[in-house]
Amino acid sequence: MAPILSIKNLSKTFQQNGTKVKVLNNVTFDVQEHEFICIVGQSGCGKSTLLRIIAGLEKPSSGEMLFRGTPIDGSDPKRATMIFQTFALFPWLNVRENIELGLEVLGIPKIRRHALVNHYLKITDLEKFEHSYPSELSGGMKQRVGIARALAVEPEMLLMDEPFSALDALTAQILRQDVLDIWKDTRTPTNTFLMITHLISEAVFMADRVIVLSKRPAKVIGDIPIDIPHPRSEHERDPAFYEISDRIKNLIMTE
Amino acid sequence: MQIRRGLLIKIIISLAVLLLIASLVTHKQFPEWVGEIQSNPNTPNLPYFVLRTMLRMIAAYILVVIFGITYGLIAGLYEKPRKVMLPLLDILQSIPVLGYLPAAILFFINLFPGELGVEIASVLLIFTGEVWAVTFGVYGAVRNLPEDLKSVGRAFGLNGFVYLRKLLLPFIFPSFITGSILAWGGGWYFLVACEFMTFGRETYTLPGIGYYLASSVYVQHSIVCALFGLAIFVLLIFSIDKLVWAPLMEYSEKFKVQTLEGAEPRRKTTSHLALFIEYIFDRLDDLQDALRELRIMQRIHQRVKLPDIKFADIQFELHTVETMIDPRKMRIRNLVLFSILFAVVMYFVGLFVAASLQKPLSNFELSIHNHPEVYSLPWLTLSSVARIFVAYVIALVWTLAAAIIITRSKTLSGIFMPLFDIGQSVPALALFPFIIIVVFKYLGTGSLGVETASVLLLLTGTQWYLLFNLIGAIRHIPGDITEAANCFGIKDWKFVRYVILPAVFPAIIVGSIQAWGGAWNASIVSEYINYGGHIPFEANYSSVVLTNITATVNDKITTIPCAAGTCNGMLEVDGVGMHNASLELRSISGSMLIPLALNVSEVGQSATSGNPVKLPFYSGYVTLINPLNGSSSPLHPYSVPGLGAFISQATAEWGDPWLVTLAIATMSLTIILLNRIVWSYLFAKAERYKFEMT
Repeated sequence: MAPILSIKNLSKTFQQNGTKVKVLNNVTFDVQEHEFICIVGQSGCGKSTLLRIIAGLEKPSSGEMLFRGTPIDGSDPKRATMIFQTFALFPWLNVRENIELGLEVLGIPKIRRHALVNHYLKITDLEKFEHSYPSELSGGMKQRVGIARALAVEPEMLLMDEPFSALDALTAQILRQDVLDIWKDTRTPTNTFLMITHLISEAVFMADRVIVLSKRPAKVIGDIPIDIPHPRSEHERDPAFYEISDRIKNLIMTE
Repeated sequence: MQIRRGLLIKIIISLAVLLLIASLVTHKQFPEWVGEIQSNPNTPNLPYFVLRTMLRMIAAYILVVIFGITYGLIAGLYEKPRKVMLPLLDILQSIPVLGYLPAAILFFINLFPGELGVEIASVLLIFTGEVWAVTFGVYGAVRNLPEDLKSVGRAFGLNGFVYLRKLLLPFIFPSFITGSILAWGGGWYFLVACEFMTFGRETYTLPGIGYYLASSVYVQHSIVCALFGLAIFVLLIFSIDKLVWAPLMEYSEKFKVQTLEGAEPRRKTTSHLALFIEYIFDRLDDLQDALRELRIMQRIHQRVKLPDIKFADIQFELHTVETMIDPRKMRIRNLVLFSILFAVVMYFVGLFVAASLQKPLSNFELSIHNHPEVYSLPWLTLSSVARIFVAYVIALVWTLAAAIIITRSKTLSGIFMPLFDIGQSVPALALFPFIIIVVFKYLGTGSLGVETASVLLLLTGTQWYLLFNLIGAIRHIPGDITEAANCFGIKDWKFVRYVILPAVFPAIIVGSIQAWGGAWNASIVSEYINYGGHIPFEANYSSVVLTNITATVNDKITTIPCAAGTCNGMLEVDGVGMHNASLELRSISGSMLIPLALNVSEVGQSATSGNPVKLPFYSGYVTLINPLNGSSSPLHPYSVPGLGAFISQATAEWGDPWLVTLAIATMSLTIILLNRIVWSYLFAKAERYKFEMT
């Protein structure tokens, strides 16, 4: 089957104060539909840049990126939407309005918007908070709004940039499982998820495949499939879990 | 290196703009300019002028720092004084400085005759124009001290002077600097007014760059010299900006409480000013250590103790700072307190004005009898509000558009930001003559011309507050919000509508409050334009039918209608002094030309008339009553109906302290009411639009 996303020899160089900084160095990998991919690497290695290029927010310096066979040019919410580490909710809109924002911009009629928002409020368990403002919500709930907002436009791919880093450990735990449940839920048409994280345990907990990036300039130093069955919370003490985690850790540490 | 290049670009652009304006306005060329500038007797004194101006500004600023920090600290730290100090601050800062500027000058001249009096008055005036910015900045910062820092202070037993030195003063330093920058901006505005003042028969001047500017326009009538002075002035302001404020702003970053992880590591400050400040404080610390060894500090502490800051009070405060009192929380007791404070302040203002005009304050019945215009005060107030509103809307529209367009592109930013900086630093009062000349030339001096000039003059005192607040707000839109928006396809016009407009709403409110404050102040000199005007004309005729009399004064032509035996009207003149005029008497039979030497005297002076002159005209006589050869008529400057005009008129023409005080009180009350009712309400609404620090 043809991959939904195909990245070949992607490189990116930034100009910073007159010096050139190469952050991505010939990154190559594919993503199949229905996959949950985690990209791990040390902080500052270029993971976020890679994700932003996939989202169309940045242009690569060289290399190729194909979405369903066609090159990516600019951002397109129907192709992919993003969830942010800092939530990035609009503070003057309430929960319902924040989720509705992308739909409004796409020109979807009011009745359908209303129905979509209701659907995703239910999926992210936010029904009781639809009229609250972001300043009234906890971090975990803000991220749920971020998730609902990203899914409401029903993109082909969901991109997540360290979505749980700003949350406390307990909330992050709950949300990880929720995101996995949403991914498996057949009621949501979006089923290809790409997530960036610096926590190896998080990657092993969530992903079908883990792409390991080196230090800057980042290249792919590992592409590790994870066979452990879901729900992985029941397998966290399995030797397989530790074995994969160690393998990833060694890859990162020894390069 | 980068700073130097930016400054260089600004200097080049401002010089280019000035040269362009100069050549357009004066139709002269460069060699002639040099000659004209050299022939100005004031030019060689320019370095001395700059020195005197700086000394004046620095003296005023020192007073501002002492008062502002003291008042702000006390009001911020101690709850009981705050109850009185905050409303008092509200009232004091609403009194328009230009309203009592003439009064202040006269008051101090009577106390200290000669240049000393004028100097003291101007320093105090600059002080009042600057002090509120610093006081509010300090107060706001004190109230905003984060809970966790306070807890640390308490845990380590910080109290009294140590608390001040180690925690409070460093924390408020950034707000103090921002307040100081705003203060100096206000100071430059009043400086020009203070260095060259004309009212009554006297002109009071002080050596300074503002004097050079004003005298170039009003005495030497040389636009080239005025522009040259303007260039020097702008250069001075830029230099202070780069040499003092920019390093201080960078140094103040050190004191900001950052909750976000910075992407860039903070650069070590290398500015000499900052190092100097740190050196001073290090030496003070050394001194304190030495004194402690000698046990002197303990003895001082036993004698002089700052009242303990009640941490319990601070602990349970709200996080949002109320620099404006929420109208919903105003209870009867607060209302009564406020009214008492207001009455007391206005009483002192009245005494002050009365002393300066050297007239008694008491006789208000007589005042009302003499000037029934006082009954139209409500309408005049509404008229001013409407006019300011028009200027405000114009300013808002253009500054919003400019801010949005500028922040989109680095090149546009690079070109226009220096221009805006220049525009903002040029003291608006210095621009008045240019604006007035141009508007009157193209729109005439009727209602349309004067109203237009008035609105444009108001704009100069209003727009910069809006512009810089807006640009700052757009630049502060967090990057992740912008990315999220882009990712959802929100770009270009949609971005303006869905992101920029809501995001700048709080900045619009803050900018608008400052803009309206500036506008009220400006209205005093914008609604009453002392740049030429009118004098009354009266003539009678008998046994002949006059259709009209056309008067030509220099190049100004006025036609006075005649009916039922008299011709009554206002003659247009371009200023004070002797004018050669001619009157053309027109009737059905023919016309007659009469030369006339007109003497226009200062605003507010009494007219000297002579005996009416009877002139034979065809089959009858025309009797000229006013003006006559050898008589003098006081100038009535151009004005529009409004509260600012009323204040100016009551001061300059009627010299009535009670009316002046009443009008100032009305303006002050209007400002406070608008603040409480309109702006407070909108400010509360704007809470929702603020970006949180995660």
